[in-house]
Amino acid sequence: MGHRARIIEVLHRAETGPIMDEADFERTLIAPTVNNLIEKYKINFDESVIVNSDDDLADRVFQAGLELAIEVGMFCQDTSRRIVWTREELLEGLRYCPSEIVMGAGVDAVVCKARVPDDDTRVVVAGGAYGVPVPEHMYIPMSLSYLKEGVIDVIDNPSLETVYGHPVKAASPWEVLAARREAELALQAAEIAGRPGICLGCVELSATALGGLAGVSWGGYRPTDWLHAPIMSELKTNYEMLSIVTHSVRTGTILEAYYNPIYGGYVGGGEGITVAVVGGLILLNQCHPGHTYNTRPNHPFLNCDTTPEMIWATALGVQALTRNTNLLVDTLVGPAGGPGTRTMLYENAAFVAATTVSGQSLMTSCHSASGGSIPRHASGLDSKICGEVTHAVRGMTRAEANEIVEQIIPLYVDDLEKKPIGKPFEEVYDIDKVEPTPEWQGMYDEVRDELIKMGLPLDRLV
Amino acid sequence: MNERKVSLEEFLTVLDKAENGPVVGLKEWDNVYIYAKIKELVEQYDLSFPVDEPGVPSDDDLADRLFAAAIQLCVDSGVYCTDTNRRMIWTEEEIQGVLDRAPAMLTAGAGEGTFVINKRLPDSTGKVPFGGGPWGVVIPEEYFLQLNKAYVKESLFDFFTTGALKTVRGRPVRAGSPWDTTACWHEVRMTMQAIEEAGRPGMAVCAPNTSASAIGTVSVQSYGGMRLTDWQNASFMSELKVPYEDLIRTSHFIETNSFVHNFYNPIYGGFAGGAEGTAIATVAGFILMKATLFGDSFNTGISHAHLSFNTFPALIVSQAVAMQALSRNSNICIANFTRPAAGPTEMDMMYEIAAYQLSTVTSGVWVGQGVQTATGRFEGHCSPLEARFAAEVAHAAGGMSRAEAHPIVNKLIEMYKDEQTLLKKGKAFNECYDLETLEPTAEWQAVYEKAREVMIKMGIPLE
Repeated sequence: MGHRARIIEVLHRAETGPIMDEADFERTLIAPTVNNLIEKYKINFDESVIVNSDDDLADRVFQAGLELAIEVGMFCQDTSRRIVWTREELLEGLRYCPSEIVMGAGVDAVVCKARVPDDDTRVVVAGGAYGVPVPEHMYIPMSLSYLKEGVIDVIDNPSLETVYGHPVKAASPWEVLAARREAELALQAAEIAGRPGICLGCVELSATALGGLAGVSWGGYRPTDWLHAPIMSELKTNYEMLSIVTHSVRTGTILEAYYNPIYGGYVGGGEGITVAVVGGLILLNQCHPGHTYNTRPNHPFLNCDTTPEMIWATALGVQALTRNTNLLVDTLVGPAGGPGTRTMLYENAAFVAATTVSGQSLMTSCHSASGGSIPRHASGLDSKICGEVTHAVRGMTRAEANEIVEQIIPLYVDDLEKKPIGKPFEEVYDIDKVEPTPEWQGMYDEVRDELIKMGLPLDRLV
Repeated sequence: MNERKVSLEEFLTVLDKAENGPVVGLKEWDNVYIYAKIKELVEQYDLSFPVDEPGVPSDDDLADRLFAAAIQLCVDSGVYCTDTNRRMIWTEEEIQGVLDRAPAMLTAGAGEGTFVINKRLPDSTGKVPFGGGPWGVVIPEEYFLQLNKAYVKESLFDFFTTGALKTVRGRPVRAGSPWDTTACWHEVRMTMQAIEEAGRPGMAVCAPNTSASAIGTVSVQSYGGMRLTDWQNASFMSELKVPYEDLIRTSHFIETNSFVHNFYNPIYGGFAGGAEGTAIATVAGFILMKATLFGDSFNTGISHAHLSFNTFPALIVSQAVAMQALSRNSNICIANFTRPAAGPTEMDMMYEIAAYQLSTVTSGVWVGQGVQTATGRFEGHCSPLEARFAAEVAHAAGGMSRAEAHPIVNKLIEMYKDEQTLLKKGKAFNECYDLETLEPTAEWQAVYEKAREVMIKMGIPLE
């Protein structure tokens, strides 16, 4: 069965799979299954090694994730049915998944390829204020702060707080207007930046399927842009998201599917997160057949994915997948810190170093300031540091990266609980010039020098 | 992003009206703002239609009084938003502004499939563009493509309107689910394949008709699907009600600069009342759809409360006067919409089609449309031949006056009216067409030819 043609079978199974109560799915199926698999495959978090180099452990995590996908499947909230697959079906899905994709158009296009841990090949850098709410008047300046950074290959857009001054109501005409307004502003910003063909992540304002569908259409986002269709935690999809997937398949639009397991939730701690990441992305490839697959595990209280245990879990999950499949794996850094703080720069550097040497094909940044939840708290430099680190660690071994990550973590870990959200965009950037303030640029330069001294070759030319 | 052909600011005021207008209960809307108000307007404007001898009235003053009554209904009642339970209200000046922005000419289709739609008046001469197709009749998936091919090879059709898929890849189509989008894409792909194979790639397509909710429509109006030169649908519900689903469709059409077709089907014998009341509702509905849904073209598939068809004698006169009112007093692009009681292979269906086309075209419609055969309720009961016949009559009627059409329409009504309640649904497409050659069976072809002969003898210049 063709990769994207599988969507019909997905929809069929969503209506014919085994019925189960949603609460039971999480409590009696996911939680015990994950626990059993952690024991069976002897997966333990060793806090002395944040970036794992044990290939056997990575392969055991892959087997655990695959078993999770087989035993649990994906839950469809609209039909209360499990979309289940055999081992053979999941393996066939992985065997023929896209291992290379062109993102964007014309001279702005970039190629995203499957990688392996310790790989020296180039990683696509996605940057942007990914879903951070912004007022309409600030949308273009904020987008330009990312677009002007040459290190960024792909843009992920912020979210509009209002549309034409009106609140955005889900499943109403306002959602359609908001999606189209977002596309209009994002395309306008790309044009101003002289990067009209750059691949644009979309549609941020899509509370239901309508935004995703309306945004990718004539005069809006293009098939060479990057439509997003997530699943809910844990391992749950619904008809809204499956409609977006269907739209992507029919319009031939590049699709990113993502899954953000919750630390301390039904999948448990770091060990459960790493298994869930693997199982989740295997199921995404099967049920949301797209091109790139992203994860951004979330700490429920800190709203970040940069605690040592979560970096370990995410990086290990990436290794498990990239060692055993050709999936185009992608992670999103969600720091607790925000613009104008050293904390965020350290968090981003540590997370990106760990996940890139683990084999990700694409690095997405970032959910600044409490995981992107604080309006206007995002800026171009937030992603620039991620892009610079991504390029710097190419070819570095996981063990080498681990040494650097272990130097960085102590610099921020105690601040995570202080909610260091930093400053809003207008206080760290000159909006007219779209330039960082001297204070923010100075802090960035200091941290950059510091990271170079630690052994991160941010100044490498090739 | 292209400049919008519709003012976004104006559309935002429409959404404001839907969210901030006076709150009204549904029963109050139906009873007070529709039933009582229309009844009052029928008396106030002295509207009395000759339902005993329906035909095609030529009373211009009657048509103008009907238009004035409809304007009054627009201002006094407005539109009911079913999602917010609010009345959307326009002032008389705003309504006039809506009428002022209606153009006297439109183009649709692309390349060699481009055609022009010109304003017409009652008794106007000149060709009436025609849109042929099953118009939403449910079609089995097994022969959906074949049926499309059979329709688009008809050279008299300027554009094609699809049927509705019963299933998609063997599965039922669930509204608002991914099956909705999947089905609409399936419908559109099979339609585009048909026009491509017919050598008519620029032919405008009016679709999707499988769309049960907004997401199907929104999804296919995109890359690889419906084009900006095709026709997209958004509608009112009876009476003068609009749900968010249609405002959602509209917002997408405005943002994509699509060609939009609006329709509204008042119910004869319902809250709008009889022939006069449904005529007021029809005229007001067209104006209010222009104000709310920003259509380029409009039709009414006015419906008999129990029998569904729109060829009931009283409805023939009701629609004729409504079309005269609109064509004499506005630039709203009006289309007719044929929905006979009888179906393929039935001679009665041909009489119904002829009466309806003659009465509406001579009353000034700009575009002919059809046929939603056998009331549109029976799976597969439609075929290109009756739509070809409707196009032929529409073209012939384009050179006739109301006075010339009147006696012929009356005769035709006499020929079918007594048997309408029998709902002679005739045969399904796969029973009256050869699915290999895509030609009508000999039996059906003979009925068609006989019908043509009868029409010519009655004075309709089909030749």
